[in-house]
Amino acid sequence: MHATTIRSPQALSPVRKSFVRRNLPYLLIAPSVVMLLGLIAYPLLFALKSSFYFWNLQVGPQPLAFVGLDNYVQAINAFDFRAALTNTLILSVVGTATEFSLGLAIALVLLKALPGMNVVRALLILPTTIAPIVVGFLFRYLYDPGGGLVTWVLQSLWLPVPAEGILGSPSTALAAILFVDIWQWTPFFAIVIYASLLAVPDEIIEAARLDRASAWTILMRIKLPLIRRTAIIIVMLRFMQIFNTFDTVLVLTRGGPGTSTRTLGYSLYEQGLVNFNVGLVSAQTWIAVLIVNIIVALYVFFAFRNEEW
Amino acid sequence: MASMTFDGIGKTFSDGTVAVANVSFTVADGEFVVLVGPSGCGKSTLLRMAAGLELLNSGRLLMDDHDVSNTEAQDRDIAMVFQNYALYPHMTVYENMAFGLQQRKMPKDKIEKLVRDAAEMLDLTKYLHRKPGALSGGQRQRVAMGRAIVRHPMAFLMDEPLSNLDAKLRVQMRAELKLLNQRLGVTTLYVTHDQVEAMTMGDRVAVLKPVGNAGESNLQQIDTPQRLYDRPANIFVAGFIGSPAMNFVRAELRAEGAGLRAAIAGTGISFPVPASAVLSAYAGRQVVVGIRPEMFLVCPEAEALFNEPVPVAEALGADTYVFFDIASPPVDVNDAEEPEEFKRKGTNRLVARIPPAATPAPNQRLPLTVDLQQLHWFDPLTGTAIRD
Repeated sequence: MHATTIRSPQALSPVRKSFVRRNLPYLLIAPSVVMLLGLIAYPLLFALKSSFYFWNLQVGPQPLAFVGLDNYVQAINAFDFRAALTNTLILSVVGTATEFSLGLAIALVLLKALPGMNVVRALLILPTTIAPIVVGFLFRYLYDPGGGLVTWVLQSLWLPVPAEGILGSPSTALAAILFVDIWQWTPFFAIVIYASLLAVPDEIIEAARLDRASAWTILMRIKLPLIRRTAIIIVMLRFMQIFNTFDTVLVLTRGGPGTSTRTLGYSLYEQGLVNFNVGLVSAQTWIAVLIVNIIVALYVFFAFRNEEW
Repeated sequence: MASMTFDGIGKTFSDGTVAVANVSFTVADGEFVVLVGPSGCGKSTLLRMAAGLELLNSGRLLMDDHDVSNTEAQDRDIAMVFQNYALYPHMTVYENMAFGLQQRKMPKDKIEKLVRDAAEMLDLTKYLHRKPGALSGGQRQRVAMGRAIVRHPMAFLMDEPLSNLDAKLRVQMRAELKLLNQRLGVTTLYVTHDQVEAMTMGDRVAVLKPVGNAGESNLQQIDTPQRLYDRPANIFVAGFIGSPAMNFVRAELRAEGAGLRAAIAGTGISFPVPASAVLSAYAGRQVVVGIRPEMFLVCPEAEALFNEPVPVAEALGADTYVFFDIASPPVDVNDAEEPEEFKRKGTNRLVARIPPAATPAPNQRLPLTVDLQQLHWFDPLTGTAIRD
């Protein structure tokens, strides 16, 4: 055989050929499997193991003792656990639902070929591109009790603003954080829903109009079911993202006042990177992982039950 | 059921394109009218205007003498079958058909009965619980039909409903659709670019042509299929109806004794013209002669009008199409002619339908004559037929 000839698989020795052939699918997915194992499975399992030990870096570099489920008991009985879980669920559910509804409304407006829509579409993507930490700082100024824009607007509209500031009052702080998330992520829903609505053939909508369906019926019975798959997936992704909210909380309120804006994500940060209580934070992590996975599993089960994929 | 009247309908799109202009005709109650024409002739736009999916710029649209020009599509009580069927992909066949009925708050058991009856009629009962994705093209087409007929609408509009089917199924569905229309007796407006579909299905056929400006009219002629074939109103209709298309040649009419003689431009061919008062007025002038391929007759060489070599012959089994060229300038059926063009040189390829037994060997001459009574005569400037 010439040195310049390209060797085809057939030219390989029988043993090598059959090895490559037999294992080709596995070889092709191997890199992603290795990545997943290294970056997700290993840390999770490491955390699982750590969660059964008393291990605080402020006390010593190594785990000190096997404590069984003590960390879990401690995590659930912690002063902030219930508040953090409630706040997290409120943020995730209300945030996702509001962002989806507003995003859908904006998408429907975008579909009307009104003048200037190209500019609007381009502008809409902007909030999504800003890092959450930057958005956090931005809103810290907007919410500032001494001259922040939001405060000023609310006062100008004769709406009650707490004396201690929007972020300083337990009654408004969580809503303020929710508002930031909605501000940043509604455009994302709008654009994704807009794109999937564009894929709905005009003829189907026209057929429905001739079937005498009202605009509302067309939305509920034709358009929404046709973008259902996309909607299910973005709602799921966004729910999981909000569930882990921590950066905006860190910048805006550090979980306060009291525990009024504490989220599971923020508690994890505090236990792990402020108190360095590795054992406890591992247990908390696993509790959060279980909760979010149970919710997502139920959601996926009910959402995809009738789908033929 | 209702009659449908287009009264001077016009549509200009926002970019200035004139799609439809000055179209007026009436579809009688229960009639099946086919709109046919080449692409861009405005047939689909007309249909969409009838449906209310497109607004009209001028004229009025009447249904049973009610002006519905500005009525929303939702309120017109018209059913439409789309080219791509436009079935709701997430609904079963049953739901697809029931959807329109549910919108009018009909009781459930009545909906069930209507859908089952329609499904029975269209042989869809087995598929009621399937989704469109699990059906063949022909079945989807029937579901689209079912969705229309189940509502018992005032009128059916069909936009090339058979064009996505394969040739065999198309022929079959053509007959089924026609039967269905006869059985239901619903006013139907049907759009196609296929003249065979138009001729076989329509009670009447409207031949449309693209328009250049808002002063013209798309509608060239509306008549029964047979009359379109026998008495086309102008060159465009004559050239569009019939397959293979009618041959057109330029000729000059000369007075000869008491009668007329036509001389085909650029050739030495001439023949006596059957007596006609209207044609007499054209003595000494130029005309366009239309010869249907099926009006050629194979004859002995001595009687031949045409005796040209045949480079191409297409054997279809029952008939053979032979093509031959004559040294005469061609005729453009889409444009009015300038007298200057008459003197232009060129060759004109004609086609004749002959019995297979008469097929000549390649490039052999074939002596042909024509049935002079069956010729069509057109004014070269206006394109209109010259007829008593």
